[in-house]
Amino acid sequence: MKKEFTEFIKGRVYLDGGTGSELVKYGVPTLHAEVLNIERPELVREIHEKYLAAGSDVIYTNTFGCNRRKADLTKYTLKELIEAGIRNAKESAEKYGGYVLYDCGPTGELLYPYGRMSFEEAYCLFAEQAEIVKDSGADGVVIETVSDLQEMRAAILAFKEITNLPVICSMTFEETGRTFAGVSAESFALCAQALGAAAIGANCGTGAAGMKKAVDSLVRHARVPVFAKPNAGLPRYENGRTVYDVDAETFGLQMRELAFAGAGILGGCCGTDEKYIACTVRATADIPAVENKNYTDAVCSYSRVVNFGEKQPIVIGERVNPTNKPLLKQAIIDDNYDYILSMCVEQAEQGADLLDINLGMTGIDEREKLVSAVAHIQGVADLPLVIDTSKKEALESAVRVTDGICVINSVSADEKSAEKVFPVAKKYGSYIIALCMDEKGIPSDTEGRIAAAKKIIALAEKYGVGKEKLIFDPLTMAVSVDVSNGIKVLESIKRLRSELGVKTALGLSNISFGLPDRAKINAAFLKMVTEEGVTAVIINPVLKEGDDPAAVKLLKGEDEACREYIALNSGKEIKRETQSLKHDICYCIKKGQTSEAVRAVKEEATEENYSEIIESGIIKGLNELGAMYEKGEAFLPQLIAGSEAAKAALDYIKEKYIGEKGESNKGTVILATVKGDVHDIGKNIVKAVTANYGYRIIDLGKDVPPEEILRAAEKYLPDAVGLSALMTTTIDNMTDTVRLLKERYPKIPVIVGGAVVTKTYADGIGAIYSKDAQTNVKILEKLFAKR
Amino acid sequence: MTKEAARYLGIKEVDEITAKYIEEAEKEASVIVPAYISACFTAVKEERGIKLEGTDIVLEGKLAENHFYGCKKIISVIATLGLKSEILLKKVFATNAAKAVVLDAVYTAKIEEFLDKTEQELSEKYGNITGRISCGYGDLDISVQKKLFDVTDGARIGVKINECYMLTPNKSVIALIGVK
Repeated sequence: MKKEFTEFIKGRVYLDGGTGSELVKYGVPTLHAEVLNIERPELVREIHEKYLAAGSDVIYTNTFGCNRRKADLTKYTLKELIEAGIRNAKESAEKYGGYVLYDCGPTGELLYPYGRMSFEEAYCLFAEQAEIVKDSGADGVVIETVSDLQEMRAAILAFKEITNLPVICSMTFEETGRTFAGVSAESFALCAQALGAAAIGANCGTGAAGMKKAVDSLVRHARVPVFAKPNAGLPRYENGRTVYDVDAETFGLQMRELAFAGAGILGGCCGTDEKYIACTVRATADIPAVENKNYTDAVCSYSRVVNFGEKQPIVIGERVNPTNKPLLKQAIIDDNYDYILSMCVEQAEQGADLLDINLGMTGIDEREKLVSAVAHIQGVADLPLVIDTSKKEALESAVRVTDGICVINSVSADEKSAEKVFPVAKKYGSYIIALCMDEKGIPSDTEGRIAAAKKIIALAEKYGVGKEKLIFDPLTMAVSVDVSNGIKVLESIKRLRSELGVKTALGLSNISFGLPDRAKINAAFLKMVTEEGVTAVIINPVLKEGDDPAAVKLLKGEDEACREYIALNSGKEIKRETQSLKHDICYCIKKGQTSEAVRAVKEEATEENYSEIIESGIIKGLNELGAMYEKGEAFLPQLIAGSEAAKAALDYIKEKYIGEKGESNKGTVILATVKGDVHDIGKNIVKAVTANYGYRIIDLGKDVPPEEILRAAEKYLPDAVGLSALMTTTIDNMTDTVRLLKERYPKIPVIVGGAVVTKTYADGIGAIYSKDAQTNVKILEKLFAKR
Repeated sequence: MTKEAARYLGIKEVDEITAKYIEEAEKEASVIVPAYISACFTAVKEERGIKLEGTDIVLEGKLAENHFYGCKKIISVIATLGLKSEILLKKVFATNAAKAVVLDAVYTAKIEEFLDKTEQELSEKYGNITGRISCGYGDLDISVQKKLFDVTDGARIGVKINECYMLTPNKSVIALIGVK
């Protein structure tokens, strides 16, 4: 009787070698190698059986490229290709008592932020396969040769959700231990196991020697078997033939090294044939497979792992939260994810380890916005995320698309909250911030908070979530309300740690609510909770530890009614003497000095004069700089640096004085590079320069299909649309886009630019030609002056 | 590399801000490790143009004819700065667009420098080689780019090509080099 596959792979197990590179040897066309499952089944079976005879226990079906998009290029249906592949493999495997894994390769498309494919689209391509595979008789599924963790997650989820088959998965690592897309082996190990992978591994790449680093790392983080399926060294192409530089004997010896490193399951990828497998078996059969039991207490993004316990406290950046932030609110409404991204990158540079993402505000579809924000942020600001929402659908959808292991913020000690949060956390392996409160509110004393924490642990257990996943926030209350509030928090942290042995987190700025010079109190409190051993703090990462004596005394509850602290710290705001600052603002902008420009505006601006500062300081500076650029006295980097300085100064004024009064902007402009065009630097320059003249920019990104631009025009009713195209091969798409826009909205001016665009071309399609970012501003100013 | 980067930015005399940005951008770009993959084909003169043996690729037009005159072999090279370069550029763009523009120029200088080095390596291996040209230059049809991509297996170094023959990562190049 054959063992269950998941049991079987705990021993020393051998996979097969290359399939594609073997088919090439038979001289058959291999562009769509899956077609051979139907047209040359005897050939496919011959390869399977060579491996089984050489010692392979497990064979992969010849279905690497089987997804709908690729199947559509053949004359067969996806179902026909997959079923034939599995049938062939099963027929061969049965002769030897071997196992058959349905082989699933990558989609061949790039997911956001590298390309345009969304997580859901990728999921669908895998789900279609899973539907066919689920009752086809395969012993399991292998997902292999993937470089992008998000694509791997989509595949694992599809096969786990649709089939009951065990899923093993491997990514292709470079010698650095990372994939092309920068995915670290650690992140892959944590994520794949959290989603229920039965084994994790590495395949393809530069050969067995080049795989060592990745395998070491996988083993270090594994509690499932680890597998290695490398190429026969580096492939070289000579006159249309592929040559590999490692022979079978050497390969076997190299595999011995990987077996010692802890890889229990071994096989070969491109360039390996049955001799390589036979050599591997000979070289490694005497090395017993070891059971992996390594649990890593960590969260991760695709590239970065943050271990609890390695750093204390872990800093969770709190800035992405629209409460009292009018600019962020506007950005959320406008789908301006670049603005949110810039907040994230800044916090990362300031020392945040994790990023809290909260888009909670009224009047939006929070689920849709949160999912988009996560997709935009995570690839670039590569820190693990804290998904902060109270909405169930938004939570589940956002955690699902989070490319790593995230923290959920938050759960409390009541059934409803538990029901909403724990199933999601369980499914995706998330950590959870647990608020020490219940449906009745925040307990007034430490005892009540500990009781709430105990209740949460019990609730979590019911859902199969262990307490190691919980991070307890004892909840900070203002010392201005009760001077003992600081001590209560410190006490709670101590007891949560010592009595319950759990992690703790603290959103601490609330402590200083209602008091002057809050940063001083927050800084002192940060130091105190850090000394008390708090696991994580949720703060603006610019906050550093401090020890102002009055603040410390206050926080220790020794300053009754905060009298001493207030006396020492109120009324001390000094207005610095300044002279002709408008000139300074103008100068700073021309020089591209961002922080100086903001400082100048901070010192000078008041409720009364801010609009004058905008006009005769900021805009004047921009105009003079623009003129210098046109005359060749300033260059592109200076022009953009000036624009950035202006933007920072303007943002300060908007946030402080204009706020939610929603002072109308000069006009809405949609920007995009046309379909097929993946170069967006030109468009991004136009955006950087234009945004600072007071226009509302809706940036649709790059490679945008005409229909999508039309949909955006319907949604935002813009005053102008700006399009960029760089190549002769994409200019037709610009023509199509302009025609589509003109049919529907003949009055909306379309401005076009890019390397291959000329004035004659623009005139011909009824668009306005702009040669560069500065010209674009002039065109807009002229267009809108007419209105 | 500073000079080249400035040239790609269209700057004749480097000012203080740009110099600072170039220095910072070069430091940022130092973590980028370029990669290349190559394939070598026997060149067969045909009526239509030069055929790469073992493929259905024919290089038509004057440019190919002149450039590869007397060449026995043609090497197809795909070089890239990798996806990490894209992410880094996006990251820098998020907080400092001016620096990002400079970084983009530094990237261009970097990939050209890498191609020069690759040519050097290839000349050591193959002997007398020509300079590099790319599809889209002169009358060399851009659509050949896709076939070259497939036979050179650009996917192996993480490069993708789309229906408009544009490459991702942006800083990737497909070049052709002749062996005399």
